[in-house]
Amino acid sequence: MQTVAQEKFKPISKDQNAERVVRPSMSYWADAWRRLKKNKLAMVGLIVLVVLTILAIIGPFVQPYSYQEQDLVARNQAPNAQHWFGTDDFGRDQWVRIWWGTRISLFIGITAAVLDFTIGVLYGGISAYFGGRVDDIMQRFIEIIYGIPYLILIILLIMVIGPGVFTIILALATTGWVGMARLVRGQILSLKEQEYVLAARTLGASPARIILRHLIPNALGVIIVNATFTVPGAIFAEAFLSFIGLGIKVPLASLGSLLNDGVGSMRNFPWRLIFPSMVFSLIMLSFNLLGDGLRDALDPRLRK
Amino acid sequence: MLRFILRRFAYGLITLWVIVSLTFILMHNLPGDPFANSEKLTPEARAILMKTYGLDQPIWIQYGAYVKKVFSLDLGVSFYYPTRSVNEIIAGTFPTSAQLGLFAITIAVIVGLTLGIIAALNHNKSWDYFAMFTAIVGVSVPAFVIGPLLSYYVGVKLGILPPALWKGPEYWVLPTITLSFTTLATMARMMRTSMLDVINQDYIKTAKSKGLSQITIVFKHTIRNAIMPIITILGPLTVNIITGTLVVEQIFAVPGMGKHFVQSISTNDYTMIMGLTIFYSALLILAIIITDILYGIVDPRIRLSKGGK
Repeated sequence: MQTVAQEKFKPISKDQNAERVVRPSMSYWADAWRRLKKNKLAMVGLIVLVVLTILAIIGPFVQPYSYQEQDLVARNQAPNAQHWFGTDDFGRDQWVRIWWGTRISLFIGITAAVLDFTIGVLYGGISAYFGGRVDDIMQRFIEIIYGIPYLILIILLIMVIGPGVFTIILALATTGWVGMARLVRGQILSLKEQEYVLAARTLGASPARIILRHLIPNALGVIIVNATFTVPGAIFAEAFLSFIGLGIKVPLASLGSLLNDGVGSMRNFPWRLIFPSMVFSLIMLSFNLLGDGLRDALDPRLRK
Repeated sequence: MLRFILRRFAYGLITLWVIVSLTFILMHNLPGDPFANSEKLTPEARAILMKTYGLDQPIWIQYGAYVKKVFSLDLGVSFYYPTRSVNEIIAGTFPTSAQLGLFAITIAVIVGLTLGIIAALNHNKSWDYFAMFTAIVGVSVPAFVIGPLLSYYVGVKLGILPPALWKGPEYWVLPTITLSFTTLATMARMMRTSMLDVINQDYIKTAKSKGLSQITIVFKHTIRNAIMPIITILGPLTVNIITGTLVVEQIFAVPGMGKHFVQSISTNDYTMIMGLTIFYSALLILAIIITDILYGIVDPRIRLSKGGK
């Protein structure tokens, strides 16, 4: 039998804290970020998005042209040293127009997502927290709005207010928040029975404080994932409208209107379709990959 | 269950009424009137036309008359084609659109589900990556890019299939592929996630330990349970397909309702826009109601929790 040295059985002296946690504790967000970093596809998506955003900001200034400047001598040029992405029917520089269009598309997507987020979170939060009659009335209203197809509402609004960035955002926001509100309501309904909410209420916290400081932060993971998917949805809606001729009007460009032009001149000038579709698809792809990654990183159901 | 169905229909009708009112209000705030483009009209002729269409009446009388007409299924006469009623135009073009839509949904469901199932059963293997790559491309590249490319390269360059129009089976292929692509991709992604969820459940472990064959487990236990969440997205996906026909009919010159809708917007054809908007909305609302009911039938848990409320 092995003999164990006697000194190994010394009691720990009282001044040392045996319960001390050696490693730094990890917050929910640090943990999520760590898991997101491990997801290569999502990181590629994130990097591509950052690069595209930077290009959308500085891209138009790199070239000495403006998005509406016409040069009738340099019409329909293939990509070359002066015009990196070629020119269109009016000799407008495609490089500048594409990054300008990316700017507008990203702006529409992100603004729509922020509006959806704000309205949806407040509406869903209030509806779920108060429950009962308030919830009933608010949910009936949602059921009515939910049935309105957003593209049809957008088309009607555009015909009345006239096409433009503002109209598209307004129309997307009027119908888009419903999905978010339903999601938030579901989350909060399950969260509000938790003990910490009871504790907060016992301590006299106001409903606004409980909703904004306790319930919503705990549901934020799912909310963010949903918002990430809202952005490409809005960008797609804008492109769809431009394609049927109701989107951004010339000389302003969006990715959708550039795609539409590109489709028209595809046979003779294929690069006019190729570049906008590449940028458009990259944006959609990156947001989808990032959204998938965020869902895996933030959804507690998938935690092992 | 009957109460649930009736309730859903009641809400559908209210939504439809809101849409009818919205359409009416928006249309009446439109700049210009449908006769503004024809300069040959004398003021007298114009007044007569306004009177025929009831445009000289106060707005609430026009509204009342319109709502009454819509709910008695009369959508009025087109301003642009004065000899044809909106009902006739819908009757003439809707079958084509419906055919295109049904083809696309069928393909999307069959191929999408198969891709999703294959991907989940080969989780993290090359089949999975292949299926998910196809799916994510499908979600990212819109129909209005895929459509023209297919039409040009397959239709014109290779000449295998007709690049446009809608005259027979060989004409159906390209528009159907274009329209179904996004839906197919969404379907495949959802099905894969859902299958993976089910595969990790305890009852699958039980089935395995009972010694059931792989085929029985996959078909009788996994797929049947995994398909349930898919039904909830069938409604929104049908909506996508229906709005998608607007674009696809434009690209492939399919003589359907979508083409008329886009055309009526550029010609200020009030009654046509209003009529088609309401028809589209009714269709979409119906699709969502049917999905809800289907889900209630398939999943007893939903039915019970909703009935108890």
